[in-house]
Amino acid sequence: MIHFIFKNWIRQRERLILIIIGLLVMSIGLSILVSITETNKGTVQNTLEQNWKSSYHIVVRPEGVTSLPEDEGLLEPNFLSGITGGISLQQYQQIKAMEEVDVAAPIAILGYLPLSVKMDSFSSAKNEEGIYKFQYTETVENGYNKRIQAQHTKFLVSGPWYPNLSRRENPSETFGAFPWQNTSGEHVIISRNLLVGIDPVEEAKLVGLDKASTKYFESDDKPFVVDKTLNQLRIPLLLSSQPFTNTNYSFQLEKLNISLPDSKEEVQELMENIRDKGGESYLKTLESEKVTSSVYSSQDAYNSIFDRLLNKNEKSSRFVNTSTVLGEKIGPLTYKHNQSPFPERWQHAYKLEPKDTILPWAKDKTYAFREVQERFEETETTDRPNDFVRLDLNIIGAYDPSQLNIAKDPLTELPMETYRTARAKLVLDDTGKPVNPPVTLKATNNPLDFLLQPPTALTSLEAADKISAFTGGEPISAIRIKIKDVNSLTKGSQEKLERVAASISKQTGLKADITLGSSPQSVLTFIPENNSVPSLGWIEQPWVKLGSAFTILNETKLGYSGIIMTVLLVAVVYVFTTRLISYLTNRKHYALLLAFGWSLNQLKKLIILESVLLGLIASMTIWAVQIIIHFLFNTTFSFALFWLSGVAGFFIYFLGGILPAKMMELIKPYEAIKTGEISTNMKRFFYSNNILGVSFQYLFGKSRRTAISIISLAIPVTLLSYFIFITFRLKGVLYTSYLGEYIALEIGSIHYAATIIAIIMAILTTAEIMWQNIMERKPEISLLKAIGWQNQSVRKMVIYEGAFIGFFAGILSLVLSGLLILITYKTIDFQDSLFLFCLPILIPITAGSIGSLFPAEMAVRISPMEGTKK
Amino acid sequence: MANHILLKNIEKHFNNNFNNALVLKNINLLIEEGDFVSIVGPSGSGKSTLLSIIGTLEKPSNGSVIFNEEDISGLNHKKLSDFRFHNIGFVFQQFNLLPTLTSIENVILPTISRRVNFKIYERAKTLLKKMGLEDKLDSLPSQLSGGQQQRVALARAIVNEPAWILADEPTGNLDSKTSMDMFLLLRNLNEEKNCGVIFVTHDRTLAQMSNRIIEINDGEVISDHHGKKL
Repeated sequence: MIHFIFKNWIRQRERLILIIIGLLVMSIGLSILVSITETNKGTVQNTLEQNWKSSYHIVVRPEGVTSLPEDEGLLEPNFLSGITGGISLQQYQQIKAMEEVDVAAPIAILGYLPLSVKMDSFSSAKNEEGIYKFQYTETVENGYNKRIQAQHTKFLVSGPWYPNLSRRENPSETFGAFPWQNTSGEHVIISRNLLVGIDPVEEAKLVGLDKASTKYFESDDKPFVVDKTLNQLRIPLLLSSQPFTNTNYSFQLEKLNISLPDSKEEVQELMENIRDKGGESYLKTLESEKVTSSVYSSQDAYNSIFDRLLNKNEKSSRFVNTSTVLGEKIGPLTYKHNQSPFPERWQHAYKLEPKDTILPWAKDKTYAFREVQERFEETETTDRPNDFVRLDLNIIGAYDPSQLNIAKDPLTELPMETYRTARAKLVLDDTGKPVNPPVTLKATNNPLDFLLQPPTALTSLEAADKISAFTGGEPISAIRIKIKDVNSLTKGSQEKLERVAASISKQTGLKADITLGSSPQSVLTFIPENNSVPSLGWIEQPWVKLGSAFTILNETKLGYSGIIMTVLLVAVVYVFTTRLISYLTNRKHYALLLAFGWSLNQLKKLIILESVLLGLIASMTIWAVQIIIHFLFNTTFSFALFWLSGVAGFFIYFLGGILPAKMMELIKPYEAIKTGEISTNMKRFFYSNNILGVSFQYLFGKSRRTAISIISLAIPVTLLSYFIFITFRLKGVLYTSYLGEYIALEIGSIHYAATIIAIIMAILTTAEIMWQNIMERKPEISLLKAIGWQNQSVRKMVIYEGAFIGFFAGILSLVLSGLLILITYKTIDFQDSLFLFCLPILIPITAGSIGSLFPAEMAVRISPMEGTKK
Repeated sequence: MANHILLKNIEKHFNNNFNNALVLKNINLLIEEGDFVSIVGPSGSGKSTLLSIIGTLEKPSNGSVIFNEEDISGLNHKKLSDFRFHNIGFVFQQFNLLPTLTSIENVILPTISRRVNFKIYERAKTLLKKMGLEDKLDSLPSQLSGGQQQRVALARAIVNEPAWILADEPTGNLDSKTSMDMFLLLRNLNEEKNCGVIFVTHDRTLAQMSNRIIEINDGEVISDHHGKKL
């Protein structure tokens, strides 16, 4: 019997070629898909884990601290700086004590810490008596433009002038000038650092702060109260070695063109005269000559601080005052939803709300997007001397933020680390025109600006607690948590994190968000005009899209299974169709065998045996190809999948034989002498007076065969369209975040491979069907040639038939895939999916036409002689 | 002398791996325009092959077919199909109608994809009426009797008014009454349209009624004589 099968195969050589091509495409396609899927799945997971690693898994915040509706799952960059307390030490201890918590690192945002640095003095420049104009200008640079942020002018009288004023009176207010005293000409820079309290032990565990510091907190670096009535504390301090802002401090000394008389009385007379003319405003109108000037940068100020305080350079002329008061405590930004000017590029857009706040030291020169918060809680008792927290600084060392154990790749950085400025790029100007190239913005030293420097002064949590003992309120702003044994992005770790987050919320009433598996997402924010500072335009910032990595992982995994399933189904349809068509073609042949006295079981055996042989060849090919791929490309090897894919290949062919074997029972021996399937009563829609018509009538006449062809082509195309739709949707999901875009690039190849394999299978299905059709119609085709049809016409006829089958398959698959999409997604967006709706029509027409090329050539080669006699 | 067919030293053998079967040998015939010729002989004698060679369905292994002073044995596919379209109409024993097309569609089938200077539907209708099939214009072959099918096939053969009708046992599947009707139709066409007829047959009675009878045995012409005129 095997001999019989082989002989049959060899006799129908062209068909054998098609069967083998189909088998190879299916086997190789499946193998490649299995290999690259397994490898890519690993790649996606690795990419997610390695590049988008956040140094903590969960962030705990007080309830109701954000100004933004977080319904989109978005977290603003450096959200921490807007939270100034709200979590108690007790709550912190509670979380820290939880069994699954590995690291719980609190962060207590305390406010701005002004450090005054005396850089130099104009004392030596003032070599003759006179009235001097001392001008101080603070210029900030945000990466895009420079702006004067603060400017003060004072007039100093160097000479025998001792204004006779009462204590309450200010000489500047009265005379518009001060007498030049010892400290009058000093260049004093106030460096503003964001002071934050941390737990030294936990911070060392979380980001390796101890290893990034010159000296670290030790047990004797304890804070203590110096004077309770004055709210005075001594606190340990660790300074950042990077200032993060770029401010220019310029000091200029000019001498007014007024000569100062020699005698005390005459000077007094002159000053009174000035006072009567308007004091300072009068002095400002007078001409002056520049004497000297000095300019310092933030870095200069920083260097001085380090030189003086850490290197203990006593000889340095520069002086840092380690006694200071705690400065402004800053609130969050207020975002309003805004229409994105380019919704395809930036899905989310916001507008910042300006605030009506003025910094005392900058007066009208600056603007505000944040509020200064009240430091002291209102209490009944009013025995406090005043509302200041006085601090004596014990500067123990400096830490280098670039040495910290946090992600540093700017492409993959998550904008929620504590130790860097939020990234912001100016992409559109205030008129909405693109800024080319986009400008990376820097934080300014304005604490009310939208972009803030990261914390640059760290103290211990204990110190923070002692400060809040003076001011009232809870010290901790947020707690960053690392969970034990969470090393990878798996379903298990996601569930674990969800469980811990839920129990934190339950036990403490705080808000716990899972940050592991977050991805940066591009968000556009409009910076409006504010306090006569013109609008900056639109900035693009990477925000945190919570949980997106898990979504991506799940969706891509779903996508992968979908691909394999689709290709498998297409393969199944291909095999079933070709086996069924083969049965229909050979039906007469089988009937003849029955007539000769073969038993039904023999016939069934024949079919099953053929299927088993094909199945064995398929599984062998699948295994061989996988082994080759594995050794050539060093892909991930999964034995289970290897085994499964081979078995699947076998069973597809084996099962493909079951239906025809069963259908043997329908054959009656007398069919051997009956002529083929022709419907006798059909309506004519039009006369066949052209090739198209002849093709159409043929298909219509053999309606059963045509139906099988159409369905067998429609099924893969339906799956394919549905699958392409999923791919596009997946891309839609992916392209909402940076991480997704990255992943989309990685998985693109596999989707294309699957699509191509599915299309090839569809083409082969058509080819095989058409081939069978042509074989049966040899007599007809040779007749057409005998009566004078040209080869070209015969070729056209066959290709038209393929295209027709494709067209009807297209309509069918359009309906089917539409239904599938409706069932899965409930809606169809017709506008977006227009392209997707063309696919089910275009693919099968193309596949049908291409699939007919080979049969068409076969038809052309039929000699006009062949069919004319039987 | 126009539209005559001259066969010169025709030889035909079919090659297969084992032997070289010589089907036709040393055939030299001149068939004159408008003649009515029957070719007779036993099964396998090579008469159908000869007809195929005359009809350009097959090429001779040796020798040449000269039609109207032109050697057509060396023409390419395209020219051959044009030649068949303009000069030859075939009628086969199995009728060879396309089962999915109606009578009238089968008749116009040769003209499909070709430019012709007559109204094909009207001509097809006229021809079918002439064949007595005016009520079967839109019937499918399966709805027609054998004789009706063969008449449709004949109408198809003459739709482009060829110079020759080549009929390969056109009556082989018909009973004697319809066979005679068929023969008379061919005879009529031959006389009315001066259209040459070459037909292969087993039926000696019918053969006797043609102008010329060529008898073939083992691939050779063994007799060539005039038949009884009706």
